[in-house]
Amino acid sequence: MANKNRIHIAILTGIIIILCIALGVLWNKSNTDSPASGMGLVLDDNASDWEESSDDSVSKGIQIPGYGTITVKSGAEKMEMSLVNPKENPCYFQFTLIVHTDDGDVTLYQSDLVEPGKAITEFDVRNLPPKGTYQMTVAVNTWSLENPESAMNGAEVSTTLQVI
Amino acid sequence: MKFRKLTAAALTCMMCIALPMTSLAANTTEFTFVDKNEPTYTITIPSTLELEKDGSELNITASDVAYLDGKKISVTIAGTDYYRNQMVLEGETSSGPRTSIRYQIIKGDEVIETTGGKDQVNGVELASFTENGTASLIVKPVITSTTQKDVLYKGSITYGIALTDTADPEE
Amino acid sequence: MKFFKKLTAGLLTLAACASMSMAAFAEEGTTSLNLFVPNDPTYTITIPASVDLSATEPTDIPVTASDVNYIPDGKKISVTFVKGTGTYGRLYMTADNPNGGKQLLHTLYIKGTEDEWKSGALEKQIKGMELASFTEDGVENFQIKPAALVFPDSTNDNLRIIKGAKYTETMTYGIGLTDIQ
Repeated sequence: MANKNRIHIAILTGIIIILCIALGVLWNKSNTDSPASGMGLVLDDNASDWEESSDDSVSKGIQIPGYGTITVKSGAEKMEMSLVNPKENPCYFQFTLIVHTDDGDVTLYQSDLVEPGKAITEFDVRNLPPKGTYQMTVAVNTWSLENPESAMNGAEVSTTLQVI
Repeated sequence: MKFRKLTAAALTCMMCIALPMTSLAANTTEFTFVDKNEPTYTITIPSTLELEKDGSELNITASDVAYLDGKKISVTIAGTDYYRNQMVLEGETSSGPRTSIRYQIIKGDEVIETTGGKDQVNGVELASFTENGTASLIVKPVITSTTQKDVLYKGSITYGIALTDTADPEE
Repeated sequence: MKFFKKLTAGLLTLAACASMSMAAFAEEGTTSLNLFVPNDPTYTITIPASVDLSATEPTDIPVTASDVNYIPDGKKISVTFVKGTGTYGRLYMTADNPNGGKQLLHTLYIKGTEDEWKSGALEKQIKGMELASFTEDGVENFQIKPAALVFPDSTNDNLRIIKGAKYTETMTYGIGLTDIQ
């Protein structure tokens, strides 16, 4: 009888230990940083969830949204513009805004990495040119989700910037 | 009594007629009178102007200009059809509510616009002429990130046209 | 009575003078202003994330336009080649040589809407070339082929495909609205 009890206790103890180990593994996994950090590429803190409807017929590619004319007040320190990484994409996006002026190309802003399904909607700008209408390039560099140091196909989207 | 009335009338006529008085010798007075031509001119303004995002040319033309007698034809803003004569166009959105957009008139380096006040630009001169010619201005909408799209905005601007003194005799 | 008559005479005098003097006479006119602000164009272009190139024939590479709206009349969405990862933006693949030695390079040839093959080694020829264009939702293909198909008899390691070598390359596309020629 005493032996039986000891066996029961041992089995119970074993189960408890296994449960504890399993919980510990799960706990540790949930606290692990995303694969992009610690490798020179940083997730952008300004990126927030982006709700959009997607065309399910388009898949297996990198979706690059187009941009209409962007308007900003002269001397503004912040700019509102939706820099979106569609949720179906298999890669991080990094955005660079370059304005083409008569005096040369000027970089307004460069983001950190934006995960699929997130967007940057407001950001600090610098080197805003004077009032006028300019050609602007939204350069989109992409990086693999599995290996953030591995570049994937990118794009340079042309649009117009109006400084009023 | 009748005589007094007649005298008053005659004096009235004499006072109103322009009489350059050339002084002659001794006891004679020479009277001269010049019956001047009336000033003539025609000012042509567009009845309608379709605005583009980057601005549209507004041409004001003076023709058949004659006999201004040192004056100028001044074309000014008399008012607009918007509340407080502001330079604003209005339109209806597809969902119903009305929306508006400001516009500017660019005259050389000068930007003429209103910022919400009353009659801010009434009387502002857009063009002036002392002879035949055309003045070109740019009418430009102020499009911002909050401007409602897919809307037809409308408005009108009324001009005042008058003969005025030239500020600078050498103008 | 006397005073009334004098007053009348005086007023008549003033009235007569006023009618003869040339004060500025007023006229006016009106211009109606119309402005239509169209919706901004919207579109999404999907480029391939990765493509396995054929070693034996040209490979079709699809570009997809979706959610296309409000493209102004006379305009199209143009997808162009901007650069590869090679020097000066040239388009060639690189691979470690499985037999040891120098890194392998393999030039790619590319054909877009002009329906003409161009060498990825000639960056001035390929930069800006149009690969696909859209005025509405759709899919268009451009083509890429390895230089080995252009020089089938070459023995140069950079002009033939070395078995076992893993060749890779990435491209940057240009996307924007242009006039329809």
